[in-house]
Amino acid sequence: MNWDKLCRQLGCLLLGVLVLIPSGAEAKSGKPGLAGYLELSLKELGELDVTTPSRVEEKLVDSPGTTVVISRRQIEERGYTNLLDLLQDMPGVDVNQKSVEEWFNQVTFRGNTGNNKFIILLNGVRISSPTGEHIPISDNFPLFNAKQVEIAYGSVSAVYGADAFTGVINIITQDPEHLDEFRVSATGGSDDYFNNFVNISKSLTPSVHMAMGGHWQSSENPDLSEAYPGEFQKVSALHTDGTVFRARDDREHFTAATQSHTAYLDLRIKDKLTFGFNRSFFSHPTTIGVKPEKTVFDRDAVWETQLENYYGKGKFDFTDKLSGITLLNYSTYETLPFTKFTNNFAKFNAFKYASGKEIKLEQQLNYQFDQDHKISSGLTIEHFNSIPKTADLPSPYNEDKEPGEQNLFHIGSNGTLPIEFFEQDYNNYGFFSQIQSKWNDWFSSTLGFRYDYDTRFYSTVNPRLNLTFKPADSAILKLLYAEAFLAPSPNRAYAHFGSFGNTFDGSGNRISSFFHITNPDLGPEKSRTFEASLQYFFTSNFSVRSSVYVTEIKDVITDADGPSNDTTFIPGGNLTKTAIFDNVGTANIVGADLTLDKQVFWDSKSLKFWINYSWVDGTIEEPNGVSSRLPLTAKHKIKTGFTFTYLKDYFVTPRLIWIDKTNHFRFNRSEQVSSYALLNLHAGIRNIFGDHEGWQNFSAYLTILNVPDVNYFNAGGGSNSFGSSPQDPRRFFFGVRKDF
Amino acid sequence: MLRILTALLIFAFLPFTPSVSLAQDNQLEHEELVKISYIYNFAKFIQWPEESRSKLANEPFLICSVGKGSLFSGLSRLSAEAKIKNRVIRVLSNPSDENRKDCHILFVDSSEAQSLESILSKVGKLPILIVGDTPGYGKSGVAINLVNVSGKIKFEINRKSILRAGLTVSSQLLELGKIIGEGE
Repeated sequence: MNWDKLCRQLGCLLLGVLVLIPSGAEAKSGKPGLAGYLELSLKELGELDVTTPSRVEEKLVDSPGTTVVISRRQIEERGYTNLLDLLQDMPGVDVNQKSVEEWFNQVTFRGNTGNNKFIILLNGVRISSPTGEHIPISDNFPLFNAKQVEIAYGSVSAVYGADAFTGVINIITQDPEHLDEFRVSATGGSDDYFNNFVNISKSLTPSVHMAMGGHWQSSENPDLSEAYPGEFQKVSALHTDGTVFRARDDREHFTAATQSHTAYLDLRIKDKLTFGFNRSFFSHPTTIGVKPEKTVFDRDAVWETQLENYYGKGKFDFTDKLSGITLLNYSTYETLPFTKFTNNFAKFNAFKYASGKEIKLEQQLNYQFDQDHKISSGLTIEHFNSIPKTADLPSPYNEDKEPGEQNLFHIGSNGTLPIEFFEQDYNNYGFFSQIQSKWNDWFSSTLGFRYDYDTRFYSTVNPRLNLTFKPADSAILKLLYAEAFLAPSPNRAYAHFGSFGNTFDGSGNRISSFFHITNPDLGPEKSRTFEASLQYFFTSNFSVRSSVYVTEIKDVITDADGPSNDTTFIPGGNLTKTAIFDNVGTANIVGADLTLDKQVFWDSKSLKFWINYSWVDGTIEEPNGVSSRLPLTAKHKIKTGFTFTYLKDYFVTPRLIWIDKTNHFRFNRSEQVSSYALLNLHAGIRNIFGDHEGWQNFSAYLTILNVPDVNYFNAGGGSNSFGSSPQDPRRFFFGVRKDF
Repeated sequence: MLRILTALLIFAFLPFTPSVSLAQDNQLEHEELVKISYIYNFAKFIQWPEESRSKLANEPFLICSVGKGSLFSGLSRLSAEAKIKNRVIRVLSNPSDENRKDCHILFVDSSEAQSLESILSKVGKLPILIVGDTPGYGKSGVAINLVNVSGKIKFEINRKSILRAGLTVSSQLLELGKIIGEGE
C-alpha cells in the first residue's frame, strides 16, 4: 500500500470537509428532529431533561465512533422493507446481491467483507447466528416492527466480544408501554411477490406491556434468463469432467424463488423484566448467480436458514447509583435438512445441514459515580454446540438421529466412504468493563476493554478508547482506537465438500479430483482501527458528518491450498487436490465517509435530503508477497435521495446509488465488476380516506425498483458463479396498510 | 468519475441555494421541541365539541399563537410534520379577535402576561384549549400551563378552565399533569 499517497488523499478529504464549514455559521447544537420528539409520549416528554442534552441526543452524539440512526418514519418514507434495503443506502457499505449460493448476498462494511463479521441485535439481544455462520441478510430481517435501526460502525468487540468486527446493527422495536397499535399490511408485486405482516403493541395492564407480530413473504423473483439472454444461453449442464448431465434441448426453465417468515414477542413487566422470542426463516435458491452450464434450476434447490432465540432480561436498581442487568439467552441457528445443491460439484443432487446452539448468561453492573462519570462491567458465560456445515449428503440429514447414527456416505463413493460429522462443544468466558467520563462541557471519554477466553483457541483482549471533543455547540470531533476479533466459526473450520469418481489409485483408494477439507487449527481474525470523525451542525436541520479510518486486519481467513494426494482426511479416499480455510494474510484498509443531511420545511411541505460519498482503498498482503485488492468492495460510492412530503401524509422518495467498479470476491483475482447506477422510487399516502367511517388510518404505497430498467451486475461469489452476477430488472410493488 | 461526482454534488447543494425560496429553516432548541410535542400530544387527549360532527377531515385543525415568543416557527413546522385527529394543521400567529374564535388551541406566551386577563375574557368560554408556558398562568385561568420543574418540563391543568371551554379531557391526561385551581 502506498501510504504517502493514501495519507495525501485523506488529507484532501479532511480539507474538503473543513472548507465546507463556514467560520461564522449560525450554528445551533444538533438535536434530533421534531419527528423524533413527536413520537415520544407525554410521560417520556416529562422525563426529558431540558438543561442538559437529552437521552436521545446522548445516544447519538456521545456514542464512540460513528453511529447512524434510521427512524421509523425514514423506514416508512424510504420504503425499506428489510435490513438489506436499508444497508444499501448506508455510507461505506457495499451490498452485492444475488451473488453467492450459500448466503445469497454479501455485505461489506468499510472494505471488510463478510455477513458474519457484524452482529445483528433485536432490542440489544443478538439475533444473527450465535455460532458465527455466514447468513443471508434479506427478508429474514424485516423492519415492520422497528422504531429505529442503529448502526454502529467499526470494531465493537470491547463491548460485544467476538464477531462485532465491522459493526453492530441494533433493530429497536416500539416500546409497547408507549404505543397502542394493531397494524396489518399486505403488499403484492411483480413476479408473484407478496409480503404481509401483522404487528400488535399494547399495554395489557398498567404494568404489563406486550408487543408481538410477524410477517410472511414469497416471491418468484424476475426471470433473469429473459433479462440477460447473453448470460443464460441455452447450454447443456455439464459434470465436472465435461460430460453432459442434461442436454441443451432438455434444459429446464429458470427459477429463483425466495420465501421468508418471522415472528416475535416482547413482553415487558414493570420496567424490570423482559421476556422475548424471535424466529426467522429464509429460503433462497442455491442456483443463484451460478452459470447455467454448472447447475440445473430446480425449485427444490434452496438453502433454508432458520434462526431462533428466547431470552429473559431483568433490570435491577440496587441503590441510587448501582444498577444491574441480567440476561439469559438461548439461540439457535440451523441450515434445515432439505437444503439442497443441484450444481456439478454436488453431482446435481446433494443435501446440506448445519446447526448451532448457544446458551448465554450475562450479568452487567453499572455504577454511576456522579452525573458525569460511570462504569459498566460485566461477565459473560456462553456454551456453544455446533454441527458444522456437513459434506454433500446423498439424502437429507435426519434430525431425529445423532450425527454418528446418520449412516450416510460420500457422493460418488458407492456407499463405501462414510461421512464424518464434526460436532463441536465449546465455551466462551468474557469479562468487560467500560468507563464513561464527561470531564467538562467540551471533552468526554470512553475507555473500555473486553477479555474473552474461548476454549477452542486462546484468550483475546480487545481495548477501545474514544475521545469526544465539542469545541463548539455545533461541532463534535471524535477520535477512536479499537481492537476486535472474529472467532472462526465451526462452519469455517470444519467446512468440507467434494465428491468422488469411479477411479482408484494404486493402493485402491477412490480418487477425488477436488475436496475442500477441514482446518481445526483455524484461528481468529484480529483487527485494529483508528478513526477520526467530525460532525458539524450548520443548523439543527443541516448537518455534515465525516469520518476517516485506517484498519489493519491480521490473519485474514480465506481459501488456501491444502495438501495434495491426501489419503488421511477420508480413509479409503485419495484427494488429489484440496483446499482449506486458513489465516493467510494481512489487510490494510483506509477510507473515508462523508454525509450531508438537510431538511427544509415550509407551509405543509417538507423536503428531507441526504447524500453520502464513501471512499475506501486497501490491499491484502499474503506471506508469499502477493498483494491483492479488497474483495467485494468498490473504491467509490455515492448514495443520495430525498423525501418530499406534502400535507404530512403524501410523500415520495427517489433514491439513487452509484457504485464504482467492484473487486471480485476472490481477492487473488483481478477482475472487477462494472460500475452501475441504480434508481429506486417509493411513494405513499397515509390516511388515504381521511376519517371516513371504517376507513380511518388506511395507507397505500407504491415502490418501483430499478426505475429505468437497466441491466447491471453485482460481484459474484463462487467458482461456479458468474464473476458479474446479473441483477433484477425493473420491479413494481403496491401495498396497503391499516391501523386499527 | 470526477464529472459524475461533481454533478451529484451540484445536485446535492441545489436545495440550499438562495434561488430556492423555501421558508424558514427553523433552528429549534430542545426545550421548544419538547413544548411543541406537548401541545401536539395534548390534542390527542382533549375532545372538542365539533368532533361529534362527521366529515371534519377536510377542515384544518387550527393552532394559534399569541405573543412575541419563538414557538410560532416551531408550530409552523409541526404543520409539515404531523396531523392532529387526522386533520391538516394550520398555524396562525397573533390572529385577530374574530379569527381567534376559530382556533382549537391558543398558545399564549409570556410576553402577553399583561393582556392575559383580556384574552381569557374574550375566548375563555369558547371551545379553545388555552396553553401557556409562564409561571402563574395556570392559576390565572390558562387551561394547561407548561412549567420547568428542576430542568424538566411538566404541566399544570386547570380543570375548571377546560370545563368552562366545553372541552372534554381524558383521565390519562389528568393523571399525568398537576391539577390546580384558579387563585391557588
